[in-house]
Amino acid sequence: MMNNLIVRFILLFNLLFTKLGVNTTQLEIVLRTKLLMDDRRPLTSFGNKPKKESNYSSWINFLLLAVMGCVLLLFLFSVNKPYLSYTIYFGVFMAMLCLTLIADFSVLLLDSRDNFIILPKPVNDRTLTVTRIVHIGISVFKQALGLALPGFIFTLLTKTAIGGAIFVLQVSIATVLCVLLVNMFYLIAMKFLSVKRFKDIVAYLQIVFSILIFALYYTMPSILESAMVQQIDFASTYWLWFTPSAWIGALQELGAGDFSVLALSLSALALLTPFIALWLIIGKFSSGFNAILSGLPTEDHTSKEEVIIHHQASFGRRLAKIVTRSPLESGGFEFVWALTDRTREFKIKVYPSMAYVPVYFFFMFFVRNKGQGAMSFEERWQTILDQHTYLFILYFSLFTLLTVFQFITQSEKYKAAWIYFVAPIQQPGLLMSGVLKAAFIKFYMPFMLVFTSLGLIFIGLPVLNDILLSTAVGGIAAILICLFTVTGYPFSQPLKKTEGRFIANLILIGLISVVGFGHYLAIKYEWLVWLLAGVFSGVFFLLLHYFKKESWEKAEFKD
Amino acid sequence: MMNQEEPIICIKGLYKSYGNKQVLKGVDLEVYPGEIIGYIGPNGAGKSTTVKILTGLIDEFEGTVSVDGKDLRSDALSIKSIIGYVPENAELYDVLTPLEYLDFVGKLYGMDEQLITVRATRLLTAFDLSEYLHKRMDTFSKGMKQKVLLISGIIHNPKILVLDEPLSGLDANAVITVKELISLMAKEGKTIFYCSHMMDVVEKVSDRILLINNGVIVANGSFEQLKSEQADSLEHIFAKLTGQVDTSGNAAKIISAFE
Repeated sequence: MMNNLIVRFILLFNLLFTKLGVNTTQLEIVLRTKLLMDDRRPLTSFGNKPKKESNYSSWINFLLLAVMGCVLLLFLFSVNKPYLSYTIYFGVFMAMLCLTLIADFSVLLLDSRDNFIILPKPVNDRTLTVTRIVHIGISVFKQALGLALPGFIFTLLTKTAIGGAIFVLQVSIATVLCVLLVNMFYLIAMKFLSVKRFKDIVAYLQIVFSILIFALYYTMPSILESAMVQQIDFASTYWLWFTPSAWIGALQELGAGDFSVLALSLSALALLTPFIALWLIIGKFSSGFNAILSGLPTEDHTSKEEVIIHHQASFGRRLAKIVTRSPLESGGFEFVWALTDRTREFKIKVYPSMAYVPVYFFFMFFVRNKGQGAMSFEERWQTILDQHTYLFILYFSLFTLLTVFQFITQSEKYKAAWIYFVAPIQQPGLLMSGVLKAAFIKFYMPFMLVFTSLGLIFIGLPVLNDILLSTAVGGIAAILICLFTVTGYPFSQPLKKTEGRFIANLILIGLISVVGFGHYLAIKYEWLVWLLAGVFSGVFFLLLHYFKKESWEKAEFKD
Repeated sequence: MMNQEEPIICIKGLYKSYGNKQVLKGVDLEVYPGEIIGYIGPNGAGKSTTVKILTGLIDEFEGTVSVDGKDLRSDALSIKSIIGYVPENAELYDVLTPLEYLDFVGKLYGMDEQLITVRATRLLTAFDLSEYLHKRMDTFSKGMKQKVLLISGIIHNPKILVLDEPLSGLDANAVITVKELISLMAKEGKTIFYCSHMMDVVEKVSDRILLINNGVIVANGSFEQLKSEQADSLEHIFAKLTGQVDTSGNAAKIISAFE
């Protein structure tokens, strides 16, 4: 329905397209098909969620962006200076739009199916290029609309119709600037990177995006409430001249009747910039951009980047020799070590959860405690050391393992898992023990290494028994998580499968919390912590021995 | 090449259904050591299901399957250790390099790391992949991936090799190599179970042909035997026994669609 309206609107410009040498009948059919495919495409934004098949993906995406747009309202609500609030709002709006556009464009532009489906048909280059650009335009429109809709309604309600009209203008300027920035990003990136490498970069950007959202959600309200932000004197701040969102924000000042030189100058800059941006996009960058697009059809054959990996000398292989005892265990270890490095979907899902640990710790101890509002950063840090609340992060980082084991079974290449089921695996527990060790060392031990280093610097040797105890608990937790939440061999199940082990996860989280609290209570007695560290280490090795004997009958081939 | 030895593969009364759909309706077959069996049949006849049961990918079925004198239900692991399998589609973990993948596969078969490295390097070199030992397979062509899969099927030196469309995507030179490899392996006493739709290849490489249609074996014999009993070419034998007596009529129907 909506797609139909959009296509009809586009076809109003039939004459213009015909003048450009575009076959409008082909443009219509390709556009309709692509929009239909967009609606059926797995959701790409917000990397933490498993991909779901849907017939309304682009509209679900639109709704998700609208929800994000509601989160952005935070800036309009909580900052008491309208100009500053709109400046921050549009700064975040542009950052989000750029990141989603980069991720989305990679799917739209780098879709190699065009090479096999459209190119062999009698469709001229101009029709294909214009169709791609119009398709991207529609995508930008949908995304900007979704993200801006809550802000528009808020502005309309709080600032009357003029404010609403100015807001539409602001969103349009911000969107044009985003297109320019994304355009430039693509031109630079594609000049130096292969399509494959570029897709990797996009995956990392999605990871950054997820972390930003998380960090924003937890820390922004407090930061915005802080005296520093509320009392900022922006009239004398030089950075306004280098910040596009500050120019855009100034337009609301005009609407509110502030015709100061600063407001007028920044607003003029805001109104002028899109024209410069459009001139740059159309006049300078479009040819390069079109060259990229027309170059894409051959990317499958010419620009494939051959990645050379010397297996014998790899770090994973050397580690496997140290920590595994049999070929099967070593196979599981090296396999997981390599695939977790090279599987984009896994990285998008797991890496943000690793970054959440320090963000959440920062939120818990440096942002949240309102009762300690008057305390300085140094005082808060000292409180953490004195009250031993640093133990929190030692145990909180264990939750990363829940995410790791939730996704370690999933892969786009799950059909390649036939090999597990035709091979004579005498002791599947040994294979899974390699998997467990690789996951534990790769995704949990880095935290422990950082904490040990920091602990030795700030606390000294007494921190060692805490680290030892929490690592032993971590090992036990890893075994239990793997036993009770993992339902198959690594990378052997389709992506859409969600583990659905909610109760098991909840019990494990409860157990980790209880043990963590027990550690906190025992910390007054150094000898007790040492004793517990010894006991838990023993339990860990005992459990590992049992784990290696597990038959893993629940693992089954998903054909 | 029927002989008086004990069969290395013996399947009796094999039934398998998916929900209400009965795919195998009592398959009986025997394969003798050193034989090259061409296993053919139309799409959906039950070929892949038979192969999946034989290789352990499907473990729920009715009937008995014994390999090398051992029952598949009770001794699946020792049976798996003497079978090499090359699946129909080039499904492998292609973010790994060929050496990494073969190292992983070899370890699943319990092979020693050094032996895997030496054997994998030799086999990859024999298949003209020596330049690609350390390159990720996600940039490989289908044929190159198929070669790696073939190697993964033989790296543990199996007694029985189950090949499901093994020539898919291979270039002409590699096809010749694989055909010769099949003959040489059979001469060494290894048993080859070869599934394919390419009748000309099956006709040339097989000692005996088994044709499955609608879940049952409808023909069993050497090409010469089948030819004398049924028709002049394997394609016509196939068409006749699978009920497609008028294949040229189908082609005519397609052409008439344009009128």
